[in-house]
Amino acid sequence: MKLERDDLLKLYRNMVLTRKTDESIIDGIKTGRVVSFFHSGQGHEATDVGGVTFLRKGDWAMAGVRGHGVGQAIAKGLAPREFLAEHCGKATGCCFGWSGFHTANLELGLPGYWGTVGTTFPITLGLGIACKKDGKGNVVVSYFGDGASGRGTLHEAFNMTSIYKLPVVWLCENNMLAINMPASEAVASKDVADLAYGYNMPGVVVDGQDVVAVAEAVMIAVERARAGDGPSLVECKTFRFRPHSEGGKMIRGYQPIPEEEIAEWRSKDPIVLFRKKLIEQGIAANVELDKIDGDAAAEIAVAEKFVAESPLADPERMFNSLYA
Amino acid sequence: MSKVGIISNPASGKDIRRLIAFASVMDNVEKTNQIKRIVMGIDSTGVDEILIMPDYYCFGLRVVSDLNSVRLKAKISVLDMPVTATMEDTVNAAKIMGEMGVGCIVTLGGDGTNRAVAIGSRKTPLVPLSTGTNNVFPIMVEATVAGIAAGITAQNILNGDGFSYIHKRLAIIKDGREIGMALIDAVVVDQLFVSSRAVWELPDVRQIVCTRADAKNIGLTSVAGVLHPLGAREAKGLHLRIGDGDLKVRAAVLPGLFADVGVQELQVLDPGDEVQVSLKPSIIALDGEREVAVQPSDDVKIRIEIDGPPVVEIDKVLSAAAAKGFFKVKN
Amino acid sequence: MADINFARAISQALDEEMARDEKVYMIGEDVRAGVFTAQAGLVQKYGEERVIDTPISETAIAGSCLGAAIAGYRPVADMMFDDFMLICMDEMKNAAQWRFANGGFIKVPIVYRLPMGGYVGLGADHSRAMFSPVMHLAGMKVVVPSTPYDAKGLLKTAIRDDNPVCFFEHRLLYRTRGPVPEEEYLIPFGVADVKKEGSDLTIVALGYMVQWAMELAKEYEAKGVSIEVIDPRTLEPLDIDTIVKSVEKTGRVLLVEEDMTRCGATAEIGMQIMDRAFDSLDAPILRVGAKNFPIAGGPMEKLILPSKNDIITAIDKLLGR
Repeated sequence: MKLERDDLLKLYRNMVLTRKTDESIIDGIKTGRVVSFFHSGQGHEATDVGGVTFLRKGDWAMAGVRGHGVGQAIAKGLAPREFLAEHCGKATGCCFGWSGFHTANLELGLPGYWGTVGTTFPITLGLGIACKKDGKGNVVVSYFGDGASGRGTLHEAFNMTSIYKLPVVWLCENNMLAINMPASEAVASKDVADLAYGYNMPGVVVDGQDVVAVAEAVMIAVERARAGDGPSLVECKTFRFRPHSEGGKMIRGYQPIPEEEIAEWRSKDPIVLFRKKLIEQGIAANVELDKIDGDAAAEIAVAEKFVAESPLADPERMFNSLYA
Repeated sequence: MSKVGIISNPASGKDIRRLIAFASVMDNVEKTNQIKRIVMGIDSTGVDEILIMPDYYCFGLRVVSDLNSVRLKAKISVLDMPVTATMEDTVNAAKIMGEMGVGCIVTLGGDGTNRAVAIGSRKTPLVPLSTGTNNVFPIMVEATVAGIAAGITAQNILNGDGFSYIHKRLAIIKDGREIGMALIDAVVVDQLFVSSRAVWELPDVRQIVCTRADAKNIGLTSVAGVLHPLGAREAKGLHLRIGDGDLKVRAAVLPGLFADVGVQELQVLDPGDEVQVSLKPSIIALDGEREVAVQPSDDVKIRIEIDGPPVVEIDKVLSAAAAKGFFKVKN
Repeated sequence: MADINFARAISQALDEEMARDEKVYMIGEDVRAGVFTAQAGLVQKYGEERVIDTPISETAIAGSCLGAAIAGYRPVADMMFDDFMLICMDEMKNAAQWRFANGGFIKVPIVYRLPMGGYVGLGADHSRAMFSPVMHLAGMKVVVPSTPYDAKGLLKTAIRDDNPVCFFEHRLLYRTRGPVPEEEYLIPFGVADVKKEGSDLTIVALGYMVQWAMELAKEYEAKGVSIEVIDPRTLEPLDIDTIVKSVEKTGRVLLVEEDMTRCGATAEIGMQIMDRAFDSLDAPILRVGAKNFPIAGGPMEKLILPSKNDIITAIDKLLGR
């Protein structure tokens, strides 16, 4: 698909809103508003947003662990306030406030979140079976990290999506760290994309800091899936700007990651890079992008107030939720 | 002391062309195998030292480790340089190898890999091995044989010229300053971003400038190749304006992917000729990868030069070496 | 009312529900052929799109059911052996918890069919009765039928339930016969069946053990001992009221299951009886189950699994004989 100006600005907006929501959660942890833990997705915005923004209604976006799926949720149309409220244990959260940190909205194509790394592989397989049965051309874009690529669930799900030719795009966010375990020591093939060929599907590598590159590659894979040509794997090389979990340290193996290296990663901030390109290529003026930034900040401020004024999760509702 | 360098790109063969077309796949395990064969080929010729570029996949360390039990005559090592896992590694390695006086570099990758090598070093002769079907500059040849040719070249065993030729190249000139280069083609596309790099939407292509054109290659140069074949050793270049018109050709623009391309104008270029980039803003794809962003205020030209890297003619080297009795073993 | 076997009852339930609702499909290893022949003819009738054969990938089978259920389908997975469900326990746990942990608005209609049980000599890897592990998955319903009638009615209910259900099918029951009505019927979950009324002693038995309890109850009847046999049929939800009522009447209770007694389903049932009916007990609750060992293979398995003699000994002990 060719991205028009509005599409490009939408990508920018979604990335900025994702970052600001992420920042608000981190701030909430420091100030005690947030009742759960958080695995910040800062640095991943281009992949989180780029792979989902141009999906259509009926398509599923299955988030991995990082960022608790904030980017995918926002790109699918979830209001940040619902994400924030959920993390603050409020009844106005997208899961009514007792999940701690989950994101789900079936209307928007968010099937639910799970914190166990690699759990999403077989669930994605099932969503893919459903999409194929529906016959409406819907697809699943399913995120996982280099860490999850160590799970056996990957093998079973990759194999079965391929043999059944299911409309699935596997999207690997390779940020080179699984908690603290470096991918260089944990991923035998180095490029996760190399795994694809063993499963008879294409595997490609793109720059995960370049939101247009991610969107372009994923949408090609999506069109392929819609056409009935089966699954593919898009590996996005990216960086995790923050520790595995808030409050932790930036560690690789058991040693601190050097400050210069973190600074080098941060110099590839996908939002800053995209903003620069939009201006250089004459697509948007500074003032216009500033307005998007300002609107996002305002939306988060309003959302924070909304969350603060929201009631806590309803115990009765929770206890009535075990069975349908 | 004779030295041969090996530069292999772990990222080659993984771009988006596998999704949009049927581009070939060569994984890093096979590249590692090929490097072993290159090393054995080089070693068979009696070269003193073999240097391998370091990279994130660690081809060099794997090869050295896997060949542990093989008695190599040559000293083999991995270059001591930082690894950034970007194209800069290739540029840097070629530069260092050039400065170390390496007599030949074997490259393993596509057109883009060789372009990066040429940015780092334009003096050292290259034996370019292709890792896919979508390339013009590197060739498909058995890695062992490539190693032999590189070893003979590095040791200067053959007298006289004619065993290599200087490849043409395209310099990208922005506001009078060279900002990039291509070995095969520079293509102006109506796009705004480098993003996933490959070029496949033909309606977006406006200009093709190329150093070679051959109907037996695929890619955008094949558009020129079916109209006006141009050999690698001919001191000419071509410029095509693409768009609707009377003339249309069917060309394999990607592996297994055809497009009908309208050619409005075909112009033969002489060394030093410059082609103005007329579309702004736009992107220039160099050797198949979107690379240079042209902004509205830029003045960008593409100039053809005959000052690219020397390319070893493997067939000629091997037959001349055979004629000279190089492969005979003394009792 | 026709007399059919348990396997036929299962396949009738599958057939009827697949005909009734096109969202129902079957998935599993060798599900087209059907290893235990409980689904003969279904692939011919409904096609391979609805009888999905899979590679040996239990994790993917179990987890895919969750994905498809979220998207509105009603998968029925055949796990072949309940022992194999431990391979995909994470997926089954997620299926059980997905609704609750994601806001309580997602429906997860799945049936995990779990062929199970010993007395066939299949050894430690294929013989377990694992009710209690799935009773630990909050959000999972647990069904253990003992007759063709119950199997059909409960399986139809399981398929229509909007929650995940573990449905245990003892291999030795497949060929047992019993009356099953021609017309459609459903059996609600959480309703125990009093298989035989009695006044001297209550036996609560699970699955295949119900058959033994019934045989022994008849033998004791001849000796003038009146035994009441209760089949809870579903362990979650558990109809403890019916059990308590019986205990209040008889004052003596024996719990029989094929699983290990340690942390077994009967441990839970026994404790609930203690909570609710301690004052009615004339004797301590007794349990018969497998020894706390892996199941041995071949003929040696009978040294591990509960036997009729174990039950007789327990009955006599409870009656003070």
